Amino acid sequence: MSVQTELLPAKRTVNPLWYKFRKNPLTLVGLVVLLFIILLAIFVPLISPYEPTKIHVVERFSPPSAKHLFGTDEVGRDIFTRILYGARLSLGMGVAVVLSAGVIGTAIGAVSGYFGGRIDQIIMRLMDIVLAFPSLVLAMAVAATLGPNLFNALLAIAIIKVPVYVRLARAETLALRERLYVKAAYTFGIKPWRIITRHIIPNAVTPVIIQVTLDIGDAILMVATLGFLGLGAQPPTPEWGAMISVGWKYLLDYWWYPTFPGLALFLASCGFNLIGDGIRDILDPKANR
Amino acid sequence: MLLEIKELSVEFQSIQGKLQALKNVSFSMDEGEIIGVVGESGSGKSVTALSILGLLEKNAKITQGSVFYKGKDVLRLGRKEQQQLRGKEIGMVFQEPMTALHPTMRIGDQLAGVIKRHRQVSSKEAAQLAIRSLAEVHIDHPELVAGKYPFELSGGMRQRVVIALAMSAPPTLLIADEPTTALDVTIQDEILKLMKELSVKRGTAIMFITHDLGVVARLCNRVIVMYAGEVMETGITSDVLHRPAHPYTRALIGALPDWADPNEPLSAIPGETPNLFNRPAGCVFADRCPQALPLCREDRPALEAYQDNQEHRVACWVR
Repeated sequence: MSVQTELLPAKRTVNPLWYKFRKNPLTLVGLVVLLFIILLAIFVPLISPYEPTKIHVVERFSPPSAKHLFGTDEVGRDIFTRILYGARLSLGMGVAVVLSAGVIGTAIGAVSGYFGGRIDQIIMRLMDIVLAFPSLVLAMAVAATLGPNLFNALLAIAIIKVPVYVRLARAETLALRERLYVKAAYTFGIKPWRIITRHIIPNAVTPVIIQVTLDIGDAILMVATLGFLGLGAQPPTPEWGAMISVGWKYLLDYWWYPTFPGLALFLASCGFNLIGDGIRDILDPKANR
Repeated sequence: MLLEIKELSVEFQSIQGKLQALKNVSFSMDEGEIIGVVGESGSGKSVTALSILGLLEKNAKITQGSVFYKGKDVLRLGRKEQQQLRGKEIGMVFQEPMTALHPTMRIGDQLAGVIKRHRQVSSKEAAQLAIRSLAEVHIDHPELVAGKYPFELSGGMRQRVVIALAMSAPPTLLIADEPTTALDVTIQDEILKLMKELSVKRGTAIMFITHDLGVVARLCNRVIVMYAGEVMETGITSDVLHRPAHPYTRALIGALPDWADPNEPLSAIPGETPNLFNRPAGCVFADRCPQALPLCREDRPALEAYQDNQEHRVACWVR
């Protein structure tokens, strides 16, 4: 007795993901804006002759000109240069914070959902406690308690982001746990650890990825907020929030000082949100816009 | 004796109250034996299988009875020992081959994972054993199929892969819960042949859960007829099918369509299955039984030998 193996021929067509991405103009705008910022941030040492922290008091408060594209600040540092060095910091931190929160949250959520019972109850109640606080207030409290520096600000934002991922991954795990192939793996004697890492998590990541892309913009704003309040990066670090925090006092006399970092912040978080929306539409066509 | 189920009762807790899914189910299996468990939907076939594997949902409770596997009561084993039992000793094949495979893992990797779990082999050896196990379930070009994802395979091939997975330990007992129901008739035939062949070659006992008496007749040495969570009749397949003792078994056989006469109307068993929330005091089949006596509604008949044949047992007052 033999069976005909019916194997599908390999197909090579236009990548449908890219097609959908292209069809969504706003996503494309977000992508272009971000790529622009990222490229500038990478090549800023080549573009700009200035250093981000070098003080040059003679040229303080120069208005935007060909020499200083976005003008200079109260100690004569070039704002354009500082914004781009700040972009490295803000984008990098935004991505790092959300990715680590995503990874940790997914792991906790999958374990919680798979085992259920008392472990699940304890974990979810802990997450509820974190969620019960307004996120910014909690982040401020954590950052202030740990001491105002960049790393503690990151830790604080990661902590408040984790519960969202725990809930997402847990909900997905609860559904997957009932799927036949997960039950089948169980009847084959596969160990729980392997079921979680090989059967549950790879199939539960889609909503997590969507949430990650949507959260990066938010995380960048939060990093800046903590910086603005003096709980994040400390001067003279060229961080957008910290720059605005010093600069807003000069808004009426030297408008360029707080305006350009603010604009950069707006563009970056907006760019990530647009891309996040696009990725959600691609990965989850059923979700309402 | 390989498996012995004694007086097993299972209850489901629901909003409407307690539903008794199994009541005093007892039967046994020998090594290498193929046994058929037949009955209509809701008769407790699957619940029996799931309770052996400890796969019952959280709202289910085993209220009574024991399941002995090789002399050990599996319901009272520790977590580790139960895990050892699953896959290595007892394998399971499910009804829908479409959803029983991991959708985003290659066939070969799935097989190798299970093989590595139960045998002390390296990853490389496991991959080779995976290909060999595909060949054993008669899949052509096993090395090619090992690199495929489940969605690239047909239903029949997927069910072969599922059988290969369940047999990879290899287990001493294979529980097959309607493994051919979702497949068309020709594929069904091949899968049945394959299972019988594997059983003979490896000495694996198979508990075959089905509602198809034709499958039972072809495959099984013995048959257990279940109705409303109780065992109605058990015996050697030919005895039960040729000389059915229970009116329910007779009705089941009578309900088989007669292919020779296309004009004959389909016969069905009149009435409905009893309310399992509130079991009748007497025989569960009494309300639908054409031969029911007043006694049948008052007292539950025990499973007893039919016409002095100790192998053939029936739970019926009208003998």
